[in-house]
Amino acid sequence: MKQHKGIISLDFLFSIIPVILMLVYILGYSSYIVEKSQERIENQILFDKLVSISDYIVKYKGAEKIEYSPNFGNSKVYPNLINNLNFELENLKEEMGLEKLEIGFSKGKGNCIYRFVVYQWEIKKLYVCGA
Amino acid sequence: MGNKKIICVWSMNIIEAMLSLLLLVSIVPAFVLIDHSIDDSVYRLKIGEDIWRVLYLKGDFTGFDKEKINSDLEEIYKLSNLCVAFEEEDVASCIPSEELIVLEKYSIVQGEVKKITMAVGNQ
Repeated sequence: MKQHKGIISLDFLFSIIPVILMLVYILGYSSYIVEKSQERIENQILFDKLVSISDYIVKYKGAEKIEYSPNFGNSKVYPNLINNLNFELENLKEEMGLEKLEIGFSKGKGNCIYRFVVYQWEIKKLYVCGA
Repeated sequence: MGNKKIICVWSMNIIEAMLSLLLLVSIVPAFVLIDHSIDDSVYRLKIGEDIWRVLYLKGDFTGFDKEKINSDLEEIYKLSNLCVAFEEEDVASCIPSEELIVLEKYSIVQGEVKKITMAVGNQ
């Protein structure tokens, strides 16, 4: 009877080892997948934020504007024609939930994207960098 | 006792089989998920629109001066290594081998409104 129990235990042992190995592998792999997908989502969110900020700068905030005047009629905005980059970034940074935000004609810190603009009648790359 | 052993072995086999299936099912989408890079389709579109807008601001479409367009496209190439080609008008800084953006635009060329396909890509 004892011998019989021993056989069952050995059989159980040999069956449980691959099950445990597979479980460990699945758990490890799933945590790796979760980590990677989370990283990818975070990068995508940051990228989308930078694209939105660059759009706001290029099309409105930094763009050449002609205010309303009786001679020229309604106020006009000229997208991609940059006349001023000296504006406050703190509010924008806080609203977008970024730790760092740099906008300029040279690369800054963090992840960067660029847009083509005209500045002083020259084609330039406007970098929007953030983290 | 014999029945208990059979049930035990069978249940272990079922668990093993289920876990193997789970493993297989989890691996396939995982590779698809990991291979995915950032979706920059909107950004690429914006870059294409930027190029067109910049050329417009530089006055290149007034009279559709091909030399002026070429020189500005060269400037864009120097800045970004992006090739821009206007397919219908034989204007290009270089021919993009890998097209990133293709935009259909309209411009006045020699007094006529013409459709221009602008292709932007890497050399």
